Amino acid sequence: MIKQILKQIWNERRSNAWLWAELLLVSIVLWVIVDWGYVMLRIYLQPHGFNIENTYQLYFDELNLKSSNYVPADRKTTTFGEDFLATTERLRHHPDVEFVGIAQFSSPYNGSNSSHNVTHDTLPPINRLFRWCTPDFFNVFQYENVDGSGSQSLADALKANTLIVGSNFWQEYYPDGKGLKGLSFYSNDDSTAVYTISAITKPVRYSDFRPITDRSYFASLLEEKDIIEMPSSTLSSVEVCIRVHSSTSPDFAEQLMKDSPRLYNVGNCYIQRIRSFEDVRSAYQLDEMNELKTRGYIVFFLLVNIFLGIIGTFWFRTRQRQGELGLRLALGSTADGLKRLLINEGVLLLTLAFIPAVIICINIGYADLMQVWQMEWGIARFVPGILITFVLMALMIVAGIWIPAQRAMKIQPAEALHEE
Amino acid sequence: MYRQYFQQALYMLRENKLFSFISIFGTALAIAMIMAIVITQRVQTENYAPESNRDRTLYVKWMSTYWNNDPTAGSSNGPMSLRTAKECFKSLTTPETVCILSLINSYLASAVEGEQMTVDLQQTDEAFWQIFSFSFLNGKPYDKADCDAGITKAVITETVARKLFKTTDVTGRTIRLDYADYTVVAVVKDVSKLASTAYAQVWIPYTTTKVTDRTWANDVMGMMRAVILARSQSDFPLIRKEVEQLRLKYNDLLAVNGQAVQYLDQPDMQFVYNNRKWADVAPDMKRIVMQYIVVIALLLLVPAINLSGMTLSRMRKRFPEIGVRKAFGANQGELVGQILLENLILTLIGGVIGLALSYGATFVLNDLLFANAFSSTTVGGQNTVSAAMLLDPALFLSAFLFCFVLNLLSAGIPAWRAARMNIVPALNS
Repeated sequence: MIKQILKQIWNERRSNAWLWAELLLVSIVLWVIVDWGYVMLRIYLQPHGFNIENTYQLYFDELNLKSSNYVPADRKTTTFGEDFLATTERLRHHPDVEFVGIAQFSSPYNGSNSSHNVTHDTLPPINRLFRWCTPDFFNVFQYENVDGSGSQSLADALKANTLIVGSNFWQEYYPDGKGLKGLSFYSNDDSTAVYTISAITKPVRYSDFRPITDRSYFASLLEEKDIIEMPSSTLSSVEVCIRVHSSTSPDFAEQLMKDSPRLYNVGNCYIQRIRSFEDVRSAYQLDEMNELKTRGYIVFFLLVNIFLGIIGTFWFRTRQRQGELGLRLALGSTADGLKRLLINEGVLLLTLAFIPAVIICINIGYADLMQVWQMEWGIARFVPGILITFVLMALMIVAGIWIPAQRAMKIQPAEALHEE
Repeated sequence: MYRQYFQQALYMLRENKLFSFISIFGTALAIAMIMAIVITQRVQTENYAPESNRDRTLYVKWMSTYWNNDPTAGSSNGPMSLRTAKECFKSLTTPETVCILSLINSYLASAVEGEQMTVDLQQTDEAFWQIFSFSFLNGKPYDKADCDAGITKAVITETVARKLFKTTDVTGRTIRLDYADYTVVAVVKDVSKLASTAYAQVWIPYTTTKVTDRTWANDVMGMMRAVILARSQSDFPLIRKEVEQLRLKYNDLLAVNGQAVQYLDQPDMQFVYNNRKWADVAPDMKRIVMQYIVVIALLLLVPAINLSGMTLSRMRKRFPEIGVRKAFGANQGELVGQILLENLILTLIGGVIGLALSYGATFVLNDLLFANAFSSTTVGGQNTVSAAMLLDPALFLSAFLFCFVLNLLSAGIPAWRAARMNIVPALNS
């Protein structure tokens, strides 16, 4: 059967060559995109380690000297940091607000971050993302304790001179965080201060398209006295993150801004802007999402072209072979059997183009031309990607052959034979 | 003769509806995608008001400072301080003018005792109004004296004026920006976000806020950037040279701290500036251009292979006709020309549909096509594509060129083969 189809393909090699070349080229390009998309999807579906539903970020700022409400320094008894804390305290009493967390360069989907070296014993220092936050930060983003006790236990565990780390904190020495609890570290800036790990969370990802393996973190306590001492220029970049009750109306942010001049201006401190973390996320990942969409359009373009190419070629071919098909029908082939014959021919042609394509793709992968760093190159990545590519193309081929085949089958055997 | 080709092409179009549909649709899709790329690029690099001088403008968005003569050991990267901007760029003498402006920020705006709205605000000096050509509904912008003295004057767009004051005739009225009072001195027409440097909803002198105090790395880094307007493009090398001189002079000044600055290949021309994404690495322009070439080649090649195969099978049906024409003395060139021309008509129909589709895409896929560095930070404004941008003769020309190339790719081989064929078998078939 296959032999016969191969012979037929060979006999029609002139017109098949075009199709073959197109299938080969498209297979490779499509695989390049599918491979990237597959990796992105795998990463996207990994657990985040945090939850941004019902959360908002607020930006505070200090009134301008030119403002009529500005309180000059000689009439002020509080620092800007104290006003800042007073404002967050008022927010905590808002009926819709569940938790208020304050942090620096630590909230999710944040382009700014800071990292620090910490050292255990006499081992070489390790560099990790540094999350500097108040205890409720864990409640706002619902970090998960590895022991299953939720986020409150984490908030309770964050004290001066303690650290909270992700279970992937030190994979080489403590895989999956086993044995990390209780370990002591000192900071390279000040070797007298010793910090002890008091709780371990599930791994926390940097963003939707960064893998778990990318970076790990440690968190330490941001104390009120630290905030009080911060100048306003630093505090205007400090992240005030809030979680509201799930029953809160979607107008929450708008209403808060309306009330803000009346309720939340303390001293020279005011709320400059509020954004839901959904917005923060889509802004942060705009490039990635656009890249995803752009590549999606190219996949669509390639598939439509295969569909058109197949439909065109097979339309012509079934017409040319009307006599042959009529003869087969007359001799007892069923319409379905004939359709299968044509479809097999298309799929076999695809396979013929796909074999060299696979070899080229493997080489592209090994030559490291893909520039997809999020997942290691290997069989586990290659096989699903190449299979998806094949299935997508096969679907287009079946769809493309179906229509001309359907039409060809409608012919009466006698009519077809007559043509012969 | 051409009329005959035309009629013949139309006849073929009707005779084989499926082939015609496939080739027109295939062409339209390819041209639509290519033109979407071309339109996006043009809109972001050609001169359109208010950025009417993009071709003679240079940009310095970010810079880098490092210590102990070793940029790899640790550096601070980002926008510059006012002091750096003044020493290194404002004091240039070759350009027509230089503007210092802040990064775009969101501000709370309201009429006195009115309701608040969030606006995109940019802080500039007076040169801003010289580099960019805004259309003023009324009033005139702040000038050098206002900027030097830090007078609280603001220019606002008509949308902001309507929202806050219910009218656009508001020069002299007071607008409250982050709780500080400013006098509206002019109202301008809304600016499309496609004018990514000029865009904002409110503009004020940078001397009226604390933005210039936000500095780090010994007052070298800050919140400002520079836009340089050359007298003409041919001055670019001279300006670059002077920029380098000023940089070396500035580095001498910084040497006491063991510090130095570098600009990572800036000042940028518009195209490079559009692609400068990170503060600490210069964009790899070769790679970016290569990427465009690969994508466009792919968009042309895949449908071309497709159409080639089909044109060839269609051509086979016409072998007898071609044989007869050859027998009567038509030469190869004539035949190739005829086939290409006939095919070009099909391609052009596809091209027109494709161009229309790409216009549609500029509206439907607006956010995707015109996303830029600050799409994510701005709160208002739209990527408005004007009619002038779409009815640009250069666009029609490039659409035609791409059609021509696609036609050559898809009908070239079939035409060549048909024309080279021997007469006898052609007549026999």
